[in-house]
Amino acid sequence: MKIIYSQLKKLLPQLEKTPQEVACDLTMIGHFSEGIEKKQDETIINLEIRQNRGDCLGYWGIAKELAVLYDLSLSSPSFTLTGEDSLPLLPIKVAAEKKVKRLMAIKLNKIKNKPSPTWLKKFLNLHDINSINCLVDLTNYIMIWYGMPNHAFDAQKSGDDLIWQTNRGKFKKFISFDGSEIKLVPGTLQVNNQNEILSLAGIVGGKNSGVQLKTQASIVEMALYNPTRVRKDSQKLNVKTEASHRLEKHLDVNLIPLAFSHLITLIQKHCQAKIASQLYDYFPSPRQSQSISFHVEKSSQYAGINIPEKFTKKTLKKLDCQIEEKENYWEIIPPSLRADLNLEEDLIEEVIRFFGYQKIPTDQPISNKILPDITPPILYLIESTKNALINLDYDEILSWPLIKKTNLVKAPYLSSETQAINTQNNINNHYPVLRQSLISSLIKQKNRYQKLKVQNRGFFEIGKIFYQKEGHYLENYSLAVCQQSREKLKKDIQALFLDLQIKGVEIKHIKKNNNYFIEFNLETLLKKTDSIPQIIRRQKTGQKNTIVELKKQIINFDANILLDKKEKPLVLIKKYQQKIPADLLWKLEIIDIFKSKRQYKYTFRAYYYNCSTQKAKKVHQIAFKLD
Amino acid sequence: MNFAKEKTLKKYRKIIRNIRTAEELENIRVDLLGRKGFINKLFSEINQLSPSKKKQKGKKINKFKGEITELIKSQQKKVKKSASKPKERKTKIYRQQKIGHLHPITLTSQEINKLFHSLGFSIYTGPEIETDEYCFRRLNVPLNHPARDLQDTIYIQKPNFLLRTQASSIESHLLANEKPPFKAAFPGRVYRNESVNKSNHFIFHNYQGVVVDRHISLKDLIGTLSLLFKKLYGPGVPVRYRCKYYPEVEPGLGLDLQCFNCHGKGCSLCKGAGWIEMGGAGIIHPKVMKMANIDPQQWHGFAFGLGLDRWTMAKYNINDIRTLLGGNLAYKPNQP
Repeated sequence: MKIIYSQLKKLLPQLEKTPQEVACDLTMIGHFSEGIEKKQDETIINLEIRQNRGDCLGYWGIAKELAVLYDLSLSSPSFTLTGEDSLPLLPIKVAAEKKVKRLMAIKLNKIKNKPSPTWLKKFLNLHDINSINCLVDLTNYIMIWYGMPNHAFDAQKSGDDLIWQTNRGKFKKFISFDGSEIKLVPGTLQVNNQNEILSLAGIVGGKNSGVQLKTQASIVEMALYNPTRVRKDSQKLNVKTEASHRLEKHLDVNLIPLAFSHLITLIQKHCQAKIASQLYDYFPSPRQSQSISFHVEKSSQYAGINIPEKFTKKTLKKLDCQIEEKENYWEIIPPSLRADLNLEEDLIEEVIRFFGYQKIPTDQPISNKILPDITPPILYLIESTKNALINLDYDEILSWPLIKKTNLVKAPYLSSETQAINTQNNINNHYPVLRQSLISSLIKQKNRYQKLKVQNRGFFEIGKIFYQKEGHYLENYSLAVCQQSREKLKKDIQALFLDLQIKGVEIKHIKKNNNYFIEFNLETLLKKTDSIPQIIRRQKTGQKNTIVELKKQIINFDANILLDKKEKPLVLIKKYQQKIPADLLWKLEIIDIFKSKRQYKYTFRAYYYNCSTQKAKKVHQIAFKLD
Repeated sequence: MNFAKEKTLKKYRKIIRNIRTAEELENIRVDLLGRKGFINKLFSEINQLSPSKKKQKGKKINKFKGEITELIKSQQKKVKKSASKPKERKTKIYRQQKIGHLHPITLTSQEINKLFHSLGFSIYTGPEIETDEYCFRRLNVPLNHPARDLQDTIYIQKPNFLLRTQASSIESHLLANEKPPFKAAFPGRVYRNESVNKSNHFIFHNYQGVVVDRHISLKDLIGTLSLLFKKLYGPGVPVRYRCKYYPEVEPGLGLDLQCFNCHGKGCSLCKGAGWIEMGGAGIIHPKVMKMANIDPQQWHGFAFGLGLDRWTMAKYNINDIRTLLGGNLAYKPNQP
């Protein structure tokens, strides 16, 4: 939602805060400012309006919020529609009564439609809306000003006998005003005459009744519908518009008279239109605002700080709440604009947000009172397993649980009746199926490391695997380990089991591409152990600077260094490490020491990462003083 | 073509004979005999020669290829033999001390777990295949609620079975299964139906915390979160708590960290806002409590949720979110 600061000031003439201050304050009370931009000599505040605040999808709602926050008066214009009593009634029908909350319409004729005046074009342009013609632009202007969508039909094309009714399957397709063809489905709400559909109510108008420059007569309507209905229709028809986005939220039926009168007044003024019918107002069941019992002390209890009663009362009054004070509580009737205020907690939030979240202290965390430990034992087992495996020199990897169908393998411990689980609507359609084993991920990682020339290390993954059995979707924590040496794998798993006191589990490996893999159901292992540590232990690996995002293959070069006397190899490694930039050196080792008659020859092997061969070579030559 | 067979063969013979591991041998095999290897490159280069020269050179390269293949095979046997019967090395290889590494997501989770553990929190978990009830309805997001637009869902079986879109679904299980008072925190993997690129992923990680007790207020929540931010970013990092709507909490709040790139001035990283959104929190909505059969008149609670991925990426200098669950994450051997 964009707010032009100069336009906002028309509703709040006493506003003295800068656009930056307004943006920051609106953020703090719940309307996140995504930034401020300058365009065509105007300052525009970009706001994110949350789903529950449909009332703030227009200047009107935002101005009301600021009026409460800054204690300002809202410049409240009044518009009256005059002279319509003697005019004919409009033959409009609302057949789908439950779907329409309120509908106001009027016929205008003698319209002199034309291109929009400069101010209107600029206003719409700053809201990223293209100017079409004056009449259409005014309907858009009012939608942005009050947040209320509305529509104008060319009455010469549509006729006057408009019907709001549910599509029973008679109409199969619809061409919207921009020429898009929409396939219709039964059950959606539409506006039609006897012959054709004119509009998908609350979503988009039709090409067949669209207003053009030559339009001379128009039926202008403003309606609010059941928001769930708009949302469902929009989903069914796969059409999302600015109007449907607004109308699927709760908007105020009582705002229609003001917004509609304003619209008609503007059309009269700018298009010299004359009113040609009585005002049609379908409003079957005015919303009964529900009274809420409000305990004034609760705002302070919820915030954790004292909020004065005087402030609470003033805020609720500024919000247009009706307050009736009872002995221990207040009966509050919220304004119809605020359909989101239904519970005492909603009112508490109103008081706290205007009092200011920033006034709540930040240095008083919850007490460290010990409560019963409800940690599931499997989490302790996972933690202990990870720690034991890194002590055995294994690296942890994590991989995608959604995989390609070609990579699907079954964990060795899963029975043959288990089946894979497919996703239905994953847009990443190369990865449609949930893994049934972690081994395929380890193989993929192994291949990747080989390509990047990362030297062999053992690694493991702990994560969920998924499968279906007898119509149920099941998942369990699995542990898979990869190691190049079969003997080491066996020895390490024995050591792991010894550490975790796991007994009676058979160690069976799988061989793939010269590597050995093993996978266990951790939940089965949990049953095989007598003792799981009862604290979350954290392994201190000091590995902050060891995690690397590899972008290229690792490159290695050798270098021979001749020394007159024997040196400690690790001291030498440390010495030469300092000569190579840390962000290039992957590893440095001495692979050979040769003693000749007079000298010692040390052969170094240096591994470089995320750099070109040329760069690595250059660094290598400098570090080891090679020609 | 400049190819001196004997000289090249001599060079590779020396290299291959010095190789002691199957992996290194495989690497050299790919370099020489692979699809894009040295020998195939030689073959492609002779295509431009005259037929007679092509025949002559081709013969030479084929002979070279045969010799290299034999050499690798014989070395493979030696390596295998030495691997099965480990012998005492003549020269010890001196390198850094070995210890494995935890994944950065695990490290971040453990760091936060440790803090919450010190505050008396348990750690909790829940299923990744979730029902609509636990992922949405119990969190005050009924069917057709606009808030569902926030989370594009991957379905297993529409509309009831899905992959959890938020770690809050674990909160639904926690509230349903445990008797108050309790304090629990939980990292969890979540799924959204979004396309994958450098900064977005359809699989990512959340961290959630929940407390239910007699007298819980926003002050407890804000104080706890501030402690967490201090622990992770140091005492001087400005944090902002602002009102924000989430269906499962009332009052709700959004938590922002001052942009560490522009220090609040506004830049492309923070999209001009000067702040980076870290997560959401609030007092648990009374409807959520009632759905879990917890009396909201007696018990109050707070809940918060944070994204772990960006946090981890910033901390470990990872630029591409795909690296976190992809194959390009590697661990540098420890320095002596």
